[in-house]
Amino acid sequence: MKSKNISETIPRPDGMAKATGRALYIADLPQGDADGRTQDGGVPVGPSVGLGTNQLVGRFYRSPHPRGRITARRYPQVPDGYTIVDATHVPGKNQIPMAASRDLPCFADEEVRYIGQIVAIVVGPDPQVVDELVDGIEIDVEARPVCLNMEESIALKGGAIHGTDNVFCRVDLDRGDVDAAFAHAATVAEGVYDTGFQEQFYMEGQGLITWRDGDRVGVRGSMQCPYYVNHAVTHVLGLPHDGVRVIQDTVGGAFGGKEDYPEIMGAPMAVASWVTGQPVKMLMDRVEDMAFTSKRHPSRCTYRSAWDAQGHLLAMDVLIDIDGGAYESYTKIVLMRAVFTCLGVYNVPAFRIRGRGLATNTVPSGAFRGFGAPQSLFGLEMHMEEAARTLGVESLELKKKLFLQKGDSTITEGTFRDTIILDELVAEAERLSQYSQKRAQYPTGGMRGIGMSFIIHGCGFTGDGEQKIIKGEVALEKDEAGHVEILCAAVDFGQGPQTTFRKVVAAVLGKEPEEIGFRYPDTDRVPDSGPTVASRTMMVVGYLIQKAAEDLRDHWKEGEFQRVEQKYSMPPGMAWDQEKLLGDCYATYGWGINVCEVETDPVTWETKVVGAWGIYDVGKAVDQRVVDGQIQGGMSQSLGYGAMEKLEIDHSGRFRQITMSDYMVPTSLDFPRTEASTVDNPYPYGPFGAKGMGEMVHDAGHAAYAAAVEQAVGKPCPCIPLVPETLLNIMEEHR
Amino acid sequence: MGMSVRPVDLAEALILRDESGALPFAGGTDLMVRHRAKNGMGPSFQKSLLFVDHLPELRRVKWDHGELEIGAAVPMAVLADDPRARKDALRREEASEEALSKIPSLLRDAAFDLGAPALRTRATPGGNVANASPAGDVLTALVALDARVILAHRNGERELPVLDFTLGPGKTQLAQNELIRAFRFPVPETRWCYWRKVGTRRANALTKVSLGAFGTIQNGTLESLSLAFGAVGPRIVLADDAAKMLLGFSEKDFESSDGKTRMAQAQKLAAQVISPIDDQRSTAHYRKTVALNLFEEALRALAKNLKENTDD
Repeated sequence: MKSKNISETIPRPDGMAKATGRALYIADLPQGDADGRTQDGGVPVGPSVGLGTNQLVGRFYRSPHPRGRITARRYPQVPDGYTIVDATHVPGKNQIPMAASRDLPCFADEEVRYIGQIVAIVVGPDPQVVDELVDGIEIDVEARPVCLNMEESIALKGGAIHGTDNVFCRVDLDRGDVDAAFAHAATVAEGVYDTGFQEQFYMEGQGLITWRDGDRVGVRGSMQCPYYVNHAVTHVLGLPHDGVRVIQDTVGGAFGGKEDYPEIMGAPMAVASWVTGQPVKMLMDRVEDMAFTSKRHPSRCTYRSAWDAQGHLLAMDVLIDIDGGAYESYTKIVLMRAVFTCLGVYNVPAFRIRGRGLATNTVPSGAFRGFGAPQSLFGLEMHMEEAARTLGVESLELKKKLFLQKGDSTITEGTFRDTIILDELVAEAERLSQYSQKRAQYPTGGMRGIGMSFIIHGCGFTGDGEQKIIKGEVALEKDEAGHVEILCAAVDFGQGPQTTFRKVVAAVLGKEPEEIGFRYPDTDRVPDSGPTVASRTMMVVGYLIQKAAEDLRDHWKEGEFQRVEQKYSMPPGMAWDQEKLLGDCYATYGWGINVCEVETDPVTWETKVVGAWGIYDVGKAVDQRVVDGQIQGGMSQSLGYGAMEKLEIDHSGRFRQITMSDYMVPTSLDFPRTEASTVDNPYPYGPFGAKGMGEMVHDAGHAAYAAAVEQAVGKPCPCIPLVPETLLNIMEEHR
Repeated sequence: MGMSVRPVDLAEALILRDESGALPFAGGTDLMVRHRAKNGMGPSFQKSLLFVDHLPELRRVKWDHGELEIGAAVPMAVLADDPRARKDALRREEASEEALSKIPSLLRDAAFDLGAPALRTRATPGGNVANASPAGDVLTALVALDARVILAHRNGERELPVLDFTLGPGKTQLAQNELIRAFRFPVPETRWCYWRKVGTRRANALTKVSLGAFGTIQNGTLESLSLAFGAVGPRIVLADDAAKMLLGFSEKDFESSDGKTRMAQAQKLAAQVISPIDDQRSTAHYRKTVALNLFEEALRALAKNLKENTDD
């Protein structure tokens, strides 16, 4: 690479094709296309499998009933060429296997637990006819009372949905004598903090094609985790792993929303292809997508903190409940991250933390950028504001005294082994935003306010998940002419690995990034480097790629085909006990600060964001523009979460805001550009020092926003989204 | 779906409308959403479509004896004073500089608050009124302006007040053989306008509650006033009783105890005619509270306006 500094921005190889519309998404793939292209304007093009002219359209029949045992199914007469496929057709196991659960059936069989649960898939050539057939299906259920939220879940309304107590999973952590600390406390602060559902709102909706090729099946389309899809389809069809081929096509955004859904959607489609022998294509309509795909887990965090007479923190007592919806799916892993993040950047001498994932009759909650951290960091940061008010001190001063230092214990009794630069980040935040000066200057309740929130984000899978569960592998291949290709399962859904991975390899080999090949993952061609999730792609997979490139460089043989491989191993010194939840819950951490400044209008209770700042320790930015893009988008998404993105459920557990005109994702006019800064703090086991950062940019913007609104209106604002209707209620309650 | 037709002029359009009862289609920004089908299929219209967006008779902005006439298919972008759309309208001789200069700020701001730039190049006032949504921004502004709708049929025209024309969401008095040709309203020299839309976000937003107010001022006193609230009932709500309480107000009345009593009474009268609902976008409580806050804000703006004029 010409430039010596890896952070220096290069043009994104996939940028022009995506900007000009040349990139082919699953909806664009022409039937019968087989021209053998592998690249088009920098965007990889998948092979032509699944695009035959015998392709069928698929649509789901989804349960119109929220809860009950299925007592009867009535299917309409099916014309030739059309097929209705349901649980009776599943050749393997009728369950979607996920990282920590397999309770979600592929097709509802004995019972339904939420409106929209997949009961059957109808496939055939004419979408109109397929729709009519779907409309002709009926099921009867022995209905039971619908459990709409966590309060009703705890009260076991209508009896338990899951087990005997509606608790999918628990994560509990303890340190020290918490009861004694509270008994001796001079001051106790207490609060309850709520967050709502959030829709990922990827620009491209869910879309897949499945096909059958003899005794094999294939799935291609919009997804984050090709090997997750491979695993799920293998399980449902009872095939060996090499009996399923999964290919990623261009992905128009994901945000976690394409982590579990392509399995939930793809497995029943694969059954339909298996039964009919024909390709099946399904493009989710936007309304169907918003109504029935996984959302962020709503949460309720209860924080109590004990302080001595000098204002030192003695202990925290924390209860974290998250709403998992109708099936467990990823709830336990989301809960683990929520719990492991719930003390934030602070050293808390004693704590009792109780976390629960609860069952309700709503769409199963799933993965979403941040994965539990945005929920508990909201609770924590808003509680620190509350504690500061109770103690009569400035919240930043309170927080600074508690900052974690290198060598401190983690929440799971591991060790922070890397340098922590929170003081530098604070100085940078002050320099850019003049936070403290403004905070002191604005009178409380004067309709203008500024808030600051702190972020810690564990990079990569929790605990030893990278080593025990994922076991990531990558490879590089060099052909006789010296062309090098990256082989891994990492997906570019906008966050940039098509750019950054090429840069890493090019920098090691002394080549230009555009010379490095990197096609979209195809499980027939690439090793399983793990899912594209958990802020792990750059740090974990990128590091394996760097190591592989160094290996290739060191053993380079001109004119020969060469293949080098790298397998993940835990960084030295890292240890984890999954049974006891003790040790290093993450290999390392990203750190950050968000500042938000607002003006509230007392006529309408609308709040305008007048300034937003994001300061981060990302280790080292491998491409500054890619990192800045994440910062801008993450801030908008978290401010939308905090201010606008109301997603309610009705009396039967259905979402009420399922159109683009009702669900308020922010536009470019809603928030100003974020003033962003990154401070280098290279991590020895990341590529060129890089750490994970794609999620932490969404972890706490909403907390900074709510803290700013609290100053502006002079009232506690413990719940998001803080839409004007909510703010009006807060003002009236506290009048 | 039946046949879709694109007539060359209004006369042909009216004949086709009379003979087929085809659905008039101007910008399509409401119709395409209402008739959308699932992914992979085109929109599903049961009726024939009659395209009217291009008809010259529907695209004119005319200034005529103190009255402004705005064609039903004038793009919202023109009303919103988008420089490109305005230039285009002048070039096509659909509007004169003078006529465009007479568009009151109330209408301009309401049009600007509608959708986003791309949508405003397609959306039209005729469509906004025909859709008859109580959240229609330009509809609210036209009601505040006391505009009349001009309905054309093959043998002539009739006029009626815009508010009377609308019957409820999606329902109007448009007859099977009629097309909305234009809107007409007087634009007096000394006028006062207030417009505020409270939407769900800053662009591409539907209205949760709005207030359009239009007054005429003679010698420092308020001579006429209309107050039109959007999205607080099934139709636009004109708070005429409240407005009457304020007629004859001059600068000093906003400070006097008698004036304050009248303002409080006016607010009570306004509250009586506002009956919003809870829905997926907002709550009845919020809509009602904020509608009355907007009323107060409008009065503050009016007081300021009278003060500034008096000072002249």
